[in-house]
Amino acid sequence: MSSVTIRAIKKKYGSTAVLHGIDLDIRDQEFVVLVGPSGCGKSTLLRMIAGLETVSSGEIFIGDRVVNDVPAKARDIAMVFQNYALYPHMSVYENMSFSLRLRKQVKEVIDRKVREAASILNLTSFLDRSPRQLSGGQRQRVAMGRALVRDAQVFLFDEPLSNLDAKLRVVMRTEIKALHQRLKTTSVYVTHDQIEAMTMADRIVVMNAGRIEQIGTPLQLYDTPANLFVADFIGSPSMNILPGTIGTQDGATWVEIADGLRLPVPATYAALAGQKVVFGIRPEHTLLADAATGIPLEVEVVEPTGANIQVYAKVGGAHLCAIFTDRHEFRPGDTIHLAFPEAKIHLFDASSGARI
Amino acid sequence: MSRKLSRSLLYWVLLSPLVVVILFPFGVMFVTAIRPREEIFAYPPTWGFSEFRWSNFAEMWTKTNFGGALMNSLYVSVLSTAIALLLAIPAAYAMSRYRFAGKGLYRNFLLMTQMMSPIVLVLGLFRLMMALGLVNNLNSLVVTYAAFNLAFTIWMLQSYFNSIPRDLEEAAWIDGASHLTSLVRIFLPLAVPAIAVAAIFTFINSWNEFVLALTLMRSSEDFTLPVQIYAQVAGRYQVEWHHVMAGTVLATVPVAIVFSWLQRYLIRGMALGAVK
Amino acid sequence: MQKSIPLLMIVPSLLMAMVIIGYPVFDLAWTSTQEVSRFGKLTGFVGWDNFAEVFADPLFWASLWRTGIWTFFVVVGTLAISFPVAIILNDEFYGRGLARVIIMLPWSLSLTMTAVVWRWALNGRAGLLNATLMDVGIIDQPVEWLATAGTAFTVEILIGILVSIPFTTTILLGGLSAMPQDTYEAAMVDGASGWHQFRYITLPLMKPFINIAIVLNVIYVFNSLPIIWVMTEGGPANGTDILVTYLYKLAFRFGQLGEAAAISLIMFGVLLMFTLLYVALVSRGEQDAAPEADKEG
Repeated sequence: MSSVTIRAIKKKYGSTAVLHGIDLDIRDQEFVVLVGPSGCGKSTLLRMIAGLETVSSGEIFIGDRVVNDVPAKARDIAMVFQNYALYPHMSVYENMSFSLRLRKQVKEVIDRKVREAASILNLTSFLDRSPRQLSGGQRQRVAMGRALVRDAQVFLFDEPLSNLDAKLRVVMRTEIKALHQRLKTTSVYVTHDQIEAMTMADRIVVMNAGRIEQIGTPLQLYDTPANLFVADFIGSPSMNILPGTIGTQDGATWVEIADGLRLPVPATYAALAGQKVVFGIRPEHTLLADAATGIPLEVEVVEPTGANIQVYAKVGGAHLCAIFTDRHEFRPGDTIHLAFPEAKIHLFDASSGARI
Repeated sequence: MSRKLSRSLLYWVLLSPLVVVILFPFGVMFVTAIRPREEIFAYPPTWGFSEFRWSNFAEMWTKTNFGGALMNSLYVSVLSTAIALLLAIPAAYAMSRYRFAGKGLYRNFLLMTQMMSPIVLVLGLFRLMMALGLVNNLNSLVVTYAAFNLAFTIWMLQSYFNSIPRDLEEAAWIDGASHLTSLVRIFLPLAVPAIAVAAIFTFINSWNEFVLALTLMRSSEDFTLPVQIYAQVAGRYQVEWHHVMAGTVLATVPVAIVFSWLQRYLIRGMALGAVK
Repeated sequence: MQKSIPLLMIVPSLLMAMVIIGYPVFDLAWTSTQEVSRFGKLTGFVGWDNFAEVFADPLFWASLWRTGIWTFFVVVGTLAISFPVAIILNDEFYGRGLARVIIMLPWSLSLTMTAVVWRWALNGRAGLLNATLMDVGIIDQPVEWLATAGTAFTVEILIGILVSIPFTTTILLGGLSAMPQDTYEAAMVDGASGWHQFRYITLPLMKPFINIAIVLNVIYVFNSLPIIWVMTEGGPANGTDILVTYLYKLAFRFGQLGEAAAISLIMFGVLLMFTLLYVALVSRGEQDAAPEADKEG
């Protein structure tokens, strides 16, 4: 078990910079998820921790030692690949025992460890099969079994669930999380799916274009996103984003998003009157109101998911999404009124995107 | 009649002229090879033959030193294939797995060598072999065939290697294998089919090559099969065609059989490979 | 150490290719400017004299002309036959496996063997081609196919086409089997007939493969010695000589190595020009249909 420390890591391919200076402290036994859109550099960072990519500048520590120049095989890490990377010419048993055979362990020890891992992952009946004969979910488990057998200090996961269908993904997510609770190995997990991040992580690292946008627990990111990018990325459907200007008069403070359309905001923002901002409210936090206190919107599309109703509506030039758990009979063209509780409002500076 | 059946009949009718023309020489070969000598020059010529004169083959074997030429061909083909593979496998691996300075140059160089036919260069090659003292030495053919087959072999191996996922070797490194171990225990077993196909193609190319063998081998005991058979025909007043045909039967049928089994991999290789 | 691994891996093959293939090129260039004795001794620099002699030689021009005809008809003929054959073989039908095997057969034979067998089959007196044609009633007298340059050359061209078909068909099949199925389905829904589909989808997508087939075939056919050599040795009376056979005779029969070297260079130059011109023509205003299946880094 060990911590992983990333100091001022930069990465260039030729003249193209992919990582612009990453600092990250992953504690022992922590499950950290690196999440972000394609191309943000999360996989590159993971592969650098693994030793599969070189470091352009900066340092990577595993535990107390600097591992920049340590080859992958000596770093005592295990990795689960996106495409599983199972050795096609070996059986499941041989796949899982390969690393131990390389280290010339005693046959009985190898056998015990492989069978232990297999029973944890429900693979015992598959030990003699070849990867070809397994389904996607089973292959994924073999890939994890291969990592488990290692007793490594750090587990790395490179988008392991992206090739599975939706239902299987949900099942495997829980299994991986349960495994981590049981084994308590430091884990770094890469995904582009923010739901995976939210459900599995102790802490999430949101990355964008080679930089870290925010690090925090799932709820920290959800409740207090540090900037527009994080606010938009975390949560599905995404937060409603409405550009406007702060105005204040006679003790009331608001954000004006269109002619005459004013959204009330807490009085603490009164001092910033005149500033161009972005008003954010999550769809699940909107409330139905009456014509007097609420903002009128015209319903465009209604999507019932069974668990809730997602209503897409517009006002002025802006589009909003609202989610309700009660059954409402909304039709396209109807007018509804929404209110936004002050505790759930987020304001961001319009030019920098930073939270205000 | 089902659509597929009527379509099949149509296709076979369309293909039949080509099929006939292709099979015709094989028919000629067989018939002439098993015919009694007297019937070969019968006039007017017919396809009929009175008996299976298998002894033609035995006669041909001794009279034309077929065995000797066969050994020469085997020696040259096997050795040149081995050398070509030995040099091509690492090169193809490097081209497939690494990014390095000069990669583009190297690829263009290989393309250029494919463009140069050994026949145009035959004069220069002859002088090179003279300078190296290798004329009349089968090793000159070994070395030349290996060199000229390099580009095609590297190209073919590289495109197969590209289809072996890179993360298999990465997983092996993480599992604790050195680069060499992962190459030998993970990569090579998966590359074996591709290597086998490349080996057989190089072998067939060397086996069938004519011009260089004709030019570089001066004495008949060093002839390879194609040259030996040609020698039975060239410049002779009286050609023993039944022997010649028996020779071609023995020289070509095994290769044709192996090739027939192999040809589907060629198509796959062409589809996989890079199109300029 | 890391950086040099891939270089180490390519060095052996690079060296071998440079020596065996590169050296003769330079040697030829050098020899072509020398006076050369019968036995290969270079006896003095003569500048362009060898080339001048070559250009003054009527047999050279005749061979050059004939090489053009030979290359053109073989390549065009091969393409014209291989395309429909590839289309047929790409479709599913009973006995397709067998058909593919048969069509590929000529590739497995060495050119020499093929030529030897055909030489026998074309024999004026006892050849089985005459026998078959007479049996079928196409001719009533045996024909001396190889006796006159005209018929001999024609026959050689036909055989050249025959042996080039497997290779070209393979290339085209490779392209056809990579055709995206859904493009055709979209076209069918849009109302395109079979002919339209061929003209507007198949042909454009096949262009890279057709181009490769043309370039490779031109190179091979231009340089192809065995067929003509075995069947007529460029005769009768240099009547079927192409550049390669003429060059071969000059070098190894008449000992005129200087001129032979000059012709080799000329041939190489012609081919290089053709390839460069063709590639330039083709790549102007055209994107590759299939991107390189190369993984970098």
